[in-house]
Amino acid sequence: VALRLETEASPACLDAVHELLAQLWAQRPDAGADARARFTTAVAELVANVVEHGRTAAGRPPRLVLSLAAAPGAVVADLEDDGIEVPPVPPAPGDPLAESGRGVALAAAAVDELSYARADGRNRWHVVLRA
Amino acid sequence: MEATVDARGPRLAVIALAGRLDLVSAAELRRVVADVVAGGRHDVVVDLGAVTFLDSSGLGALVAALKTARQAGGELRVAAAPEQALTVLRLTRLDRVVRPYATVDEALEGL
Repeated sequence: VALRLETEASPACLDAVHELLAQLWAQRPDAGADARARFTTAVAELVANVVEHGRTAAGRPPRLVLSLAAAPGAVVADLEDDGIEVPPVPPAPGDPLAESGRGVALAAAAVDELSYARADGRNRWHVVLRA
Repeated sequence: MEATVDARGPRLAVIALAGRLDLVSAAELRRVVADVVAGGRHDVVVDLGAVTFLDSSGLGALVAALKTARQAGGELRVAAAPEQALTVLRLTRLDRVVRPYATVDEALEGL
């Protein structure tokens, strides 16, 4: 069963994101703690990235749509927002004491697949964790 | 997130966090640690035992807190990190910078 959240990107929307993830894990009670940690990290990190950096051409917070699905042998997330284009995945910062810049690299490292596409004026992230 | 400061003598404090340490709460951790260090407690143990989720903003706050403690001549250690927090510390290799201790008592040794 697919789970879906549509909301304005704001710090408060992270509560709803974690709630949706909890519903996903209720569908997949067999998923191990490591799988939960990795997938939750990637999804919440990408949403936080939109909340922190996203904006529409008009300067408003983007609207985002998060879909989660438990497929056989995998959990899948699709995140879309109507903000302006974001740069491709940046490298992790070279400074070991950097205080920011790790978000997307962390999301990519946490899961099996992470891809980004710009289509129809929307940013689209696709996340897969085999679990 | 909730932060509870437990002063252990004139130079040392344990800060216990509960809830999500993320984009929303990162600034609060920076503020709490800055206040503790400004009050003379330069050695800080951050107890992550009740942290339900840690993201890159929370990691950034821990790094900032480490710098704050070191600039005052002290040290910052993290303790009791749950599995998800350990995972993000390892994936970002920040476990080399903010070394996680299994328990608060272990983190307190030598401080």
